[in-house]
Amino acid sequence: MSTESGFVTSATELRAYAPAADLSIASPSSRDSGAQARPRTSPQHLRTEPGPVRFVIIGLAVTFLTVFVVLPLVVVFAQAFSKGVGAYFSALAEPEALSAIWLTLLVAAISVTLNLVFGVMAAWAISKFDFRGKTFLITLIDLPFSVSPVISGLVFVLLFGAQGFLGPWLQAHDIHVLFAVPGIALATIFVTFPFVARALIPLMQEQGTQEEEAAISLGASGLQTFFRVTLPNIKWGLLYGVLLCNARAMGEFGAVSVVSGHIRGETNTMPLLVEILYNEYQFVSSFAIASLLAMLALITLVVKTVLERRLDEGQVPYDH
Amino acid sequence: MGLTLTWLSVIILIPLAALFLKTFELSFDQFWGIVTSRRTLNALKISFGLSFAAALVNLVMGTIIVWALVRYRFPGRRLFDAIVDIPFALPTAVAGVALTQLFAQKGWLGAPLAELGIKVAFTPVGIFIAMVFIGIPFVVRTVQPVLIDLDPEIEEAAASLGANRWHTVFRVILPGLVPALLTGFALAFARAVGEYGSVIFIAGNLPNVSEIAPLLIVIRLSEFRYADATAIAVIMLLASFLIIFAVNRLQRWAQNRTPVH
Amino acid sequence: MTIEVKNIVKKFGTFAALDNVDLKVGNGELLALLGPSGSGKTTLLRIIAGLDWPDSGEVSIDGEDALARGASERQVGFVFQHYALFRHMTVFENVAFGLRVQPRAIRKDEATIRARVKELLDLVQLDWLASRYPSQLSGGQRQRIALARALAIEPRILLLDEPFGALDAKVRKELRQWLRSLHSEIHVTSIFVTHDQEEALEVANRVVVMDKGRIEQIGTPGEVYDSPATAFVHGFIGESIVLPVDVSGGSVRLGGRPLNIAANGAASGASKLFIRRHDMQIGPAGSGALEGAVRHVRSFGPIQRAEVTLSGEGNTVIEIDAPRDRELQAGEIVSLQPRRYRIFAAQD
Repeated sequence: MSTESGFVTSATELRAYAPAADLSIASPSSRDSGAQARPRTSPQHLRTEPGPVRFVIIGLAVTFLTVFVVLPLVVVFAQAFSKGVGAYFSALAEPEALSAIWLTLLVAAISVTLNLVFGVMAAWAISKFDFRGKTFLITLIDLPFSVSPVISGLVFVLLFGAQGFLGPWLQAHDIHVLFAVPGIALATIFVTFPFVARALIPLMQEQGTQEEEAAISLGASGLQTFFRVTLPNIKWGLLYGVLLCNARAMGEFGAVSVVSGHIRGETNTMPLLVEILYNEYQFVSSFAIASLLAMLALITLVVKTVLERRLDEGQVPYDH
Repeated sequence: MGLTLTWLSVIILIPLAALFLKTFELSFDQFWGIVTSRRTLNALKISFGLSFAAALVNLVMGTIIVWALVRYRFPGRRLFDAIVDIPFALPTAVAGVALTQLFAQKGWLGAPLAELGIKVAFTPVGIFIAMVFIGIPFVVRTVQPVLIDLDPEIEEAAASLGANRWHTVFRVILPGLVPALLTGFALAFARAVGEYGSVIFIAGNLPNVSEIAPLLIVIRLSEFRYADATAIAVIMLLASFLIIFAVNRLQRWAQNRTPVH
Repeated sequence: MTIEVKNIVKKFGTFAALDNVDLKVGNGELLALLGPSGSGKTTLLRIIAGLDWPDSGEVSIDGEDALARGASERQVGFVFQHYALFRHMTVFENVAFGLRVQPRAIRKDEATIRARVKELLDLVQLDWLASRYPSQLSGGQRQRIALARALAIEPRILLLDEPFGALDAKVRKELRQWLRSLHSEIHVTSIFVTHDQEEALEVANRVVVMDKGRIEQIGTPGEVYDSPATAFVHGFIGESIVLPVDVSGGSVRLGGRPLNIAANGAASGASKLFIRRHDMQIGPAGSGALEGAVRHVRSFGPIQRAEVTLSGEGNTVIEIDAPRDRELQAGEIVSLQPRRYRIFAAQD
């Protein structure tokens, strides 16, 4: 029974991929030497559209992606190098640029570390335990994804700003949160919180609790179980979450823009510096910084693709 | 466990609560006054209206892109599949300056468009373009897995019942994708409404004409009019809650229609 | 409507799914394609429907070249193994689909379509489910809706791929009888694919046994069961005892010892002796062709099933079914005489 359907499935796949093998219409008669009349509609065409329709659809898709996605990316590099390689590197070597790069790395390091620890904990709590308010917790974790980045920044201004709830107290104790590194880090943590947890929850739910229970029944302690059983099982998912979390942390603009105060050389991250330089018509400098961020995005995408392949392999159920 | 909840509270719950607390400092009349002021209303109209239009374009183009990526083989298919994620991955400020440069009057696309008398950068059209850019991965990545998993027997069944390709696509396949399409549309819409970085450079930011709601929040903040900023934020937050709610309902609906094998 | 399949060859890569298959199906038949997985039966069904295309060969329906038409123009009803119901449509709309997508010139008006769908839902006794969605139906109900949907286009022939494959045992049995009586009511030439011999023998009026892309035997259920044409058919249908024997000059030897049975014209050489479990006559020691010690006996219903260790044959254990007129005892030495048997040349 199961082997029978397995055979049918593989035959089905063969059929599904046959028509798509090339752009041109695979004429069935070309494969048959027979002189008899061949069908107008062959099964090669059963699951696809006539050649011209295919051509138009592919053309539209490729054109759209090229104009709206590829071109903006190309523009970044073209502008960055428009005055030559020398201008590009001297733009990056400006103290302002260096301090922005440093701040970006620092903020990303802080927020990725914290979100890694708490993301794993949140995912672990949600996927391995049942408790009241679990749905609420999931909604809470998802929330930063659906809130405008500007609002994400705003809430911290309301908390820590001069007119904010904690503002007077902070001022009295001379603690700087807003327009300083802590504020930028907080806003970034808020915005990037969901990535790690979101990457892990489905993975951990799928794996269930059996392996952990087995480990505990064999005498492992809670921490041993986590580091020797749970963690190896989720490492690729974890890496995936960290990767996306890092990309967003380094690239976040809206939320950070609201809390940073744009103090040059002090509270400007790379995206903020891109804005400032652009508004000052320093296009080469602006796009030079932008090109670094664009490279970060491209590297992230490549690694993400590799990780997704790993994750797909890891998800092959072994009990089927 | 307790630590997790504490952290979540500190990082997410308390800041959001601050937003609503701040709102309650306003009387209803004050709140209503802010929200219905001409500039606020226009900003909201621009944000929601253009987001809706951009999400519509994403719905149509996203479907076409998914179809091409899933159903056809063509040179560079894998590359284009990866490219779809760029708007997700590219920092919004970078996207913003790049789109502006591209569509500015002397830009690669702006110049030919200007010859045709079409001005994109620093107009509402620019906002629309940026929103289309930012939204496209949402539709593609939501619909793609559903189309891949579609049972080939469904199409064969339609053909054996006498349906031509047109009927099969428009009466059988696309209706089957409706939950995923609507989810992708809602996600793209929600993202566009809240989008800031990739829009503000190309927008022109003229009050009442090309000023989006998130920018108005930032402006009010820089003027230290916290109450105004908060009121607009609350309206936008409520809208995004509604959208999340709609998406969840959609997903439940889609699950109910899936046959249990 | 008749179906004629000639010299069909179909390869998936290097794997020959169908290897020169010929088949004629008469008007009003209910034919079963029976075989193990990978035997090519589903591929043959799909080729007849136009869902797959042969590499060479001919298919004609009612004397008309079917390969000149695509699946959507053949007017062939096809019931898929997993039903392939359109999940976004109600049961009613599923059944109506084939009528709604007809070319405008011959499309019926809404009232006629509604009446026809109602009629079909009555036929499969599920008219009360018209407004449900497929996900709200049981497996057996989905099966019947899929059948009603296929019948809506007034198919010239009806093809069913493993029609009961996805159902549990009890529903399976009910649906078998239902399908047979439905067929006698509507009398459409029908072919169904199954890997379940019981299903094929019980439902079909003729059975086509397939293996490795070839047709092994075509015959009525009685013929394929009682007179299997090949070793494969004998082994695949019914429970058989298989013993390796040598045939030379009309005598049959088992492990070097002559057996007291006729070769019935079997060719000389290494062969296989096939005996149905219930075709083994048990007698007192020393009276039959074979002898053995009863190892274990289980009695249920009208029979007792005995495991017998054949003496002198390397402790070969065979299972036989005997009537309960004489209760066997474990340890007892008995003789065994095949009442009916067949000898086929050993294949490899």
